[in-house]
Amino acid sequence: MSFVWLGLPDGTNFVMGTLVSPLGALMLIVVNVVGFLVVLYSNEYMAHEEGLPRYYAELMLFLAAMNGLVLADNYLEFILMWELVGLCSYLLIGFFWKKPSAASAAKKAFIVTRVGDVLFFLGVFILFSSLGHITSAAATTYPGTASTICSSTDPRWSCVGFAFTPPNANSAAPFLSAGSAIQSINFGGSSWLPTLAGLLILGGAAGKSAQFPLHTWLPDAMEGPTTVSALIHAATMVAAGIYLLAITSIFIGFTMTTAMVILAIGAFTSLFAGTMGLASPDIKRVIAYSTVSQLGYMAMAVGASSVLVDLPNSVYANQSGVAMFHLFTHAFFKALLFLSAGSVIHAIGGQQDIFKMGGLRRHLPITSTAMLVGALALSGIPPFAGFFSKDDLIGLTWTAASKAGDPLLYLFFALSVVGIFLTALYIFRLWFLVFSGGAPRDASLLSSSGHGEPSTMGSAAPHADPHAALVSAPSPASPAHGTGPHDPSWIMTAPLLVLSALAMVAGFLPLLPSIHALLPGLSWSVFGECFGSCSATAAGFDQLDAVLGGVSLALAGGGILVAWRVWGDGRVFRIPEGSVLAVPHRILFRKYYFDEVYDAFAVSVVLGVARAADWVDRYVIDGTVRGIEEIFSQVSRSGRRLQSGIVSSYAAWVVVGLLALLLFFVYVVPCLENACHSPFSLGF
Amino acid sequence: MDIPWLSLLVLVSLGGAFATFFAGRYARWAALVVSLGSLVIVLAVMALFQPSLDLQNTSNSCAAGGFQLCEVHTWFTYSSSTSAPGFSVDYAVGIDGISLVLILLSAVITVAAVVYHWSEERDPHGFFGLLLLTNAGCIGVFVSLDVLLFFVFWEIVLIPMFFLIGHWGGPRRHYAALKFFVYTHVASVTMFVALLAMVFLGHWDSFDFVNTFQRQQVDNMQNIPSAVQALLFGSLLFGFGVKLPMVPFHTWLPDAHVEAPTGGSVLLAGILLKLGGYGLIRLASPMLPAGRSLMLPVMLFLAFLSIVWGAYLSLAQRDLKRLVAYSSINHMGIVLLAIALWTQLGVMAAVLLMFAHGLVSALLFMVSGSVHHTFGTRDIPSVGGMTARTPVLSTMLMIGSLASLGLPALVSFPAEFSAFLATWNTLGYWVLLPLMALVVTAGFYIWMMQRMSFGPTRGIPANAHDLPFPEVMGMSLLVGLIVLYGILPLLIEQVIPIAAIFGVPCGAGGMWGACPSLP
Repeated sequence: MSFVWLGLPDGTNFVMGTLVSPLGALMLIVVNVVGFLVVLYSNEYMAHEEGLPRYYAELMLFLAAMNGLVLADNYLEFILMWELVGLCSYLLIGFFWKKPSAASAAKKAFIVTRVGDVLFFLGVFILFSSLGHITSAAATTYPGTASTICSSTDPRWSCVGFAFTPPNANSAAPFLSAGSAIQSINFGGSSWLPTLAGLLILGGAAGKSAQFPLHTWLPDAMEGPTTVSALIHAATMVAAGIYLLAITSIFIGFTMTTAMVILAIGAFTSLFAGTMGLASPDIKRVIAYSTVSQLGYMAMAVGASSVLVDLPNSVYANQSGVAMFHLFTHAFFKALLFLSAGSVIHAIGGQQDIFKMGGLRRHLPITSTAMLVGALALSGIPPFAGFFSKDDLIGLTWTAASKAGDPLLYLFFALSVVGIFLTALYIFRLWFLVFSGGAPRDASLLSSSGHGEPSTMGSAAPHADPHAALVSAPSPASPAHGTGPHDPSWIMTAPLLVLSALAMVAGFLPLLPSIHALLPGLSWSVFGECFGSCSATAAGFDQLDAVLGGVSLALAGGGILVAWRVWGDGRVFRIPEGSVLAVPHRILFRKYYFDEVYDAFAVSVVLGVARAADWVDRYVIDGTVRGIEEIFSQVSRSGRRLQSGIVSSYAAWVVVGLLALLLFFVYVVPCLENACHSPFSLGF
Repeated sequence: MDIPWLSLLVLVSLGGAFATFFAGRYARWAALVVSLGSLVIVLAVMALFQPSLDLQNTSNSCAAGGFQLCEVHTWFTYSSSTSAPGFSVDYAVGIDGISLVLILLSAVITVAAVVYHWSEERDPHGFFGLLLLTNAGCIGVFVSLDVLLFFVFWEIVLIPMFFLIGHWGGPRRHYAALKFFVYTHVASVTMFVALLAMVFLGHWDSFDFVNTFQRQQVDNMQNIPSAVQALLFGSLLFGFGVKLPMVPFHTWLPDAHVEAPTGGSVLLAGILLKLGGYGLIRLASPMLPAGRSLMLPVMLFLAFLSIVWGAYLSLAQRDLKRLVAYSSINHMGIVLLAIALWTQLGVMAAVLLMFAHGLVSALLFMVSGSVHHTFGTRDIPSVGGMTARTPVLSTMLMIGSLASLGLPALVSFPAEFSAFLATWNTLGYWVLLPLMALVVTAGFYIWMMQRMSFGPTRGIPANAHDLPFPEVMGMSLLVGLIVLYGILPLLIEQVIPIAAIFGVPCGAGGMWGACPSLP
C-alpha cells in the first residue's frame, strides 16, 4: 500500500507506504507486547495522577508513531515517524510539566536528539542524491508496490528506502544476500561520501539511542513517569536508533570506516555508561545508565557485523540479527526492571534513593523476585535471556576483531568485556541495596502506604537530588492499602510476571523457526555450540568462542559476588572522604561533567553569541537606520532655517541663484557639448 | 458566460473594504461577509483552475504565457514624443499556480484575523475596513500582470498597515508606523524606479509583463548590459528584500510587529512578507537573468545571513512577539535561499514555505496577542506555567511552535524539507548552515515553551481567563489547515508547479507541464 505524499517538479515522487521487513516484524512484536503491558500497568500506577486523558493519548500516539516507523518503507517516511516518536517522548518526559526539572529534561531530550536528527537528514540527502534523482521522464510515477526491486541507480525516492528486497518474512535468505548495497551505489566515484553518509546516519541513531556523546538526555528522561521510562527504554524511542542502524546496514550497508566507528562508539558507550551507573544513587537512573550501556552493545554488534561484511573477500553476510536479538531480549528485561522499580517506588511513597531503601525483599516478594529475574537477565546469567543475546554479540565482536586483525578492534572488544563485569556489578548493587538486609535505612519508608508516583503534579520536590532530605510525606493510608509497603495489585503484578517469564524464555525463542527468520544472520549458539538453524556464518564460531562465553559468564558472576561483598545483606559502602576512590567517584557522580560542559556551551557560547548579535542588531544595524533618519531630519532642520521670512535674505538668495545659473550655462553647458571655455575667458 | 472571476475577487475585497468603513456597528458582520466572500471566490477560482494547459493553441498572450483566468484590457495608452509608436498600460490580471496558492493564503488568513478580532471594540469599522483593504491590496498584487497595476496594488497595501499600526498599536505605535512606512516606501520607490528602468531599457511596448516573455522581448532584455542588469536586479532585491525581510534590511519588522495590533501582525507576517518573495519570483529573477546570476553570490550570502541571524536573534529575545518576528526572518531567509537557487524545486519549495509560514506565523502572532491581553505582558521570563490556567492558549502556543520548528505532520515540514533538498541539490554542503539553524530554531521554541508553558505558575494575573470563543475559532481555522496540509501536502503542493515561471529550466514532463516552451 502506498500513496504519493509529495511530488517534486523533476518528477520524483515521495511515497508513503508500508513494508513489513523481518526486522520490522520483530520490532512490531517488541513494541506492541511491551506497549500493551505498560498500558495495563499504568492503569494502577498512574491512577492517582491528573491529566490522564493526555497521558494515554500521548502514549497511544507514541506507540502509533513507533509502529509507523518500523512499517515505513522509505527514509522520508521513516524520518517523519522518527520525529513524531521524538515529539511523543518530549511530551511524555515533560508529563509532570509543573516540575521545573521535568520541563527541563523534556527540553533537553528534544534538543539533543534534534542535533542527531539534523545529521540524519543530511545523511539521507546524500543517499538520495547519490542514488541519482535527476530522472528520466519514465520515473515520474511510482509503480506502487514494494515488491519492485530497485536497481542501484533507480531514481525513485522509495529506492532510498528499504525496498531492495521483496518483503518475505518467512525467508531470511534474500536478507542475508542483500549484503552491502553501498558498494553498488554510485557515489559519483567518491570514496568518502558513502562513509560520510553512514557517519551522519550514525549521528541520528546516536541521538535517538543515547550513544556517546549524545547520551546526556536519557538519564534526565527519568523525570517522566516510570511507565514512560519503561516504554522509552525498552521498546520505543531508543530502540528506533538501533533499528535504524540495523536496517541501514542491511539495505544500504556501511563502509569499513563507518562500521569501525559504529563499533567503537558502541563499545565505548557500553563501558562508559556502566561506570556512571555505578555511582548513581537513584534507582531509575541506574537502570537508565544500564540502558545506555546495553544500547552500546547493540550498536557495537551492528558495527561488528558490518566490519565482517566489508572485509576483503568477505564470506560473511549481514548479521544485524545479533544486535536485534539483544534488542529483543533487552526490551523484555529492561521493561521488567523499570516496572519493578516503579512498583518499589509506588510502594514506598515515591522515594528513589537506593541508599534509603533496604530489606524491602520481605515486603515486596513479587517485585523483588521480578527484579532479580531482570537483574540476572541483564547480567547475562544463563538461562536468562540476556545471556544468549550477549554471548552472541560478544562472539560476533570477537570474530570481527580477529578477522580484521585490527588492534583497535581488540581494544574496543576488551572494553565491552569489562562492561560485562560492570553491568553485573551495578545492577546487583542496586538489587542488594534495595532488597537485601534487615530493614530500610530510612525507617519512615515502612510507614508509607504507597501509591505515589514520586513526581506527582502537585509536588515540586527535587527527587533527582540525592542529597535532598526525604521529602515525600507519607500520604494518609487508605484502608484498601493497609499499612507498610506491599506488592501492588494484579494490574501491576501481571505485567511483571509476564515480563519475568519473557525474560526467562526470550533467549530460547530463536529456536522457533518463525522467530529465527526475523533475525538475519543470527546463529543461536551456546559456548560455541550451534543449535537449531544456524546460518552459514556459523563458520565464524570456533573453540575460542566457547572460551569467550565462559569468560563473560565468569565476569558476570564475579560482578555479582563483588556486589554482594560490598553492598549485600544491608551493607552500605560509602567512599571515605579523601581516599583514592573519592576523585573518580566524584567524576562518575557528576557524570563526567558532560552536563556542565554542555550547559556551559549552551549558555555561554550559544546564548552569549545570540545576545551579542542582538546588541549588534539593535545598535549597529538598526542604529545605522536611525542614523540615516537623523541625517535627514538634521538636513531638513537646517533647510527650514533658510525659510526665515525676511525678504532681504530671500533677495540675496535670488541673486546667488542667478549667479549660479549664469556660471552653469557659461562654463558647464558648453563643456557638455565638448566646447569647454578656459576658466579665465568669459566666453561671450 | 465568462465571469471575470479575478476582477470580481478584487472588486469584492476592495469594495467590501470600503463598505466596511461605513458599516458602523455592523462592521464585524460586514467584514465577515466580505472576507468569507473573497474566500468563496478564491475557492471557485481553485475549482476552475486547470491542471494542464494547451499553451500552443492559444492566441491570447496571457494564456500563452501560462496564466489562467486572464483578463486583459487596455487601461490607457500614450505616445512618447520620439521613437516608440505607442505605449499601453493594461489592466491585466491572471493567475498561475503560484498566485493561486498565495491568494488562497491571503483569503484564509483574513478570515481568521476577522474571526479572531470578533470582539474588537476600538473603532471596529476602521479596524476591519483596514484589514480588508490590506487583503485586497495583497490579492491585487498577486493577480496583476502589469507592472504599473502591480505597483498600484503594492502601494495600496502600505497605507492600511500604516494606520493599523499607528492607530491600534502599542505604546510606541507612532514611531513604529512611521518607520514601517518610510522604510518600506523607500524600498518600493527603489523597486519602482528599477522596474521602470527595466521596462524602458528593455524596450517593452507595454507595461503588461506577460508580453515580456515573448521571444523578442526576452532578446530585448538580454540586450541590456550585464552590469546594468545587475544594478537593476540589486535594486529590485533591495525593494523586495525589505518586504521579505532580508538581513540587514529587517529592523523595521520587529518594531512593527511589537507595536502592531494582533490582526495587523497576523496580516503583516501572514501575507505582506510574501509580497517580497512573490516579487522576486515573478519579476526580478525571470526578467533579469544576467543580473540574477551576477548578483547570485550576494543573494545567497544575504539568504544565509538571514537564516542564521534570524534564528540566533530569536534565541536572545525576551518578548514573545519579537521572538516570533525574528523566527519569521529566519524562515523568510529560507524562502530567499530557495528562490536564489532558481531551480524548479527551489521555487516550489519557496512558494510552499511561504504558504506554510503564512499559516504558522499567523497562528503564532495570534497566540502572542492573546498572551499579551491575558497576562498583560509578553515578557517570556516573567510568565510561567500558563498551562495550568490557560490550557487552550498553551496548546495553541505549542502547536504553533512545533509547526514553526518544522515538526512532521505539520505544514512546515514538507516545505522546509523541499527547501533543504533543493539547497542540497544545488549547493551541497552549504545546506548544513540552514540545517544547523534548525537546531537553534528548535532550541528557542522549546526553551520558550519550557519557560512560559511549563514549570510552576508565576506572573499570571488573578483574573486571567482562557481564550474567548472567537479567538479559539480564529486559531482553530489555522490549526486545521496546518495539520491538513501537513499530512497531505500534495493537496496544495501539486498546484504550485502549474506555474508560469520563465527562466527556470523546465524539466522533462512531470508536473511542470505548464512550463511554456518559447517559440
